[in-house]
Amino acid sequence: MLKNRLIPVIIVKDKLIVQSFNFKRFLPIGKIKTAIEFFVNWDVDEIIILDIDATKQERGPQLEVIEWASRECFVPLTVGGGIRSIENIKDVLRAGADKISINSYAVENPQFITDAAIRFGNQCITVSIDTMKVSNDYNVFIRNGKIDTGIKVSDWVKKLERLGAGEILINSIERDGSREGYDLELLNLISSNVNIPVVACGGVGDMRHLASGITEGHCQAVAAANIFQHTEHSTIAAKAMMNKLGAQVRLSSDVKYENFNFDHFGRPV
Amino acid sequence: MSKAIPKICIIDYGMGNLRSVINALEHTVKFDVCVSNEKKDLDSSDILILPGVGSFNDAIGNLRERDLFDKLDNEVINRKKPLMAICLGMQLVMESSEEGGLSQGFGWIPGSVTRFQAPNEYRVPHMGWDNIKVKNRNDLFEGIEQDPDFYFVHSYHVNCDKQYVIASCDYGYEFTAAIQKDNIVAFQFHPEKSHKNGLLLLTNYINSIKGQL
Repeated sequence: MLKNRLIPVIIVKDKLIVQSFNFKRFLPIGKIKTAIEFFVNWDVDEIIILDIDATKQERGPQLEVIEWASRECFVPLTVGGGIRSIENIKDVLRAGADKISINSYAVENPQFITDAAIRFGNQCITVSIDTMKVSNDYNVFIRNGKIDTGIKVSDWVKKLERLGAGEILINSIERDGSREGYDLELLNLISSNVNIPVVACGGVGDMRHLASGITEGHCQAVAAANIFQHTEHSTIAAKAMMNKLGAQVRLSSDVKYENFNFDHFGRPV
Repeated sequence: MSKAIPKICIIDYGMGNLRSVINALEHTVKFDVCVSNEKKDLDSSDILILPGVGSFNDAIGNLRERDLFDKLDNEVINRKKPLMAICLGMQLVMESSEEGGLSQGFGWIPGSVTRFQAPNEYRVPHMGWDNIKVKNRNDLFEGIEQDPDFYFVHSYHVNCDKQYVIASCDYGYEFTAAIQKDNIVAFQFHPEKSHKNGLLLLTNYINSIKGQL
């Protein structure tokens, strides 16, 4: 059967990995290549690299970063940040990415999703959405969560599926860096409104939260950034926990933590 | 006489992430590799790899535009050169696809390509790691566990006679995951993105060909 995917998100600022807190504070923590080498051997199913400076600095993707990041990445690699043209996508794929992620530009130019999907296939086009509750609805925010577009996220995801997006990466701005767990109401809203795969993101503070994105949020994949960055074997422990809590995952590492318990931080003990 | 190092040509026809295939091959075996759309490289290579992501029509169009369609046909059918096709590459091997209207493929293996018709709870694209059932445990799957997981990402799949099917997968119903006929091997999943299992499969494939050269 198709496994639920576990995906670390590598957030990049000035070519360094950072931890993000509510999209406002950023703590630098290390080098991209080191993280990728570890993650690939720690049983992750995919990796996402998001360059959060690109749109702000009005530049394209950093191809040399992708090129050396992809060299040891033998799982699918999604790259986001600064993609605004078919040429950009071509370059990023050539540099070693398998999928691309578009956020702000999808809102500014929805036709681009269709053009890109026709050219590279739907499966290649992930649309990433940053959202926050405004009065009673979840609105779509762009430009690193700074601009409220006023678009309802439930309308937006339905439109994205029609436009040809292959996958949705949904991120809660309020939960970002909060460690409170996924916004399950939001995840259910998204997964029930589309028939393409949904990746949950934002708020994981405990490995148990990952399983809830699958079992309660009904997403097909779960992503997190900060939590995986400080603990040895973090993603292997995450998978062991997901497996224990009923989310079907791929276990391929020699280390499996099958008969372990987990402490408050989700560390095997 | 056997050659120590085979020459592999990854066919560059403007469809997808060739870098992933190069990275994986560089990691697995010692060989001469070229990424090319030139006939002379197809000529001089021992093994051809036809990768590809994107849509069927564009792929055939791009191959024809680069004047590679007939050349490839000649290499594979007349010269019997070993060919490994991946994902969209596998679909191109078939007679036709319903993607973007009815389109003609190479027709090297009888059969067609159709869109997933699985029940509603099965989202399309079929995206992620799924276990395959190996029907014919030959050298290709040497050392690979039972029901191994591989990375898939596709909305269409191949339908063909079961004599060609070497592995299948289940997504609402059983579909074809890998096929083999004479000098052609094709995978719907991406070995180059399937970590240990994928790298081992690629190594096994190259080694099996090396023995024949």
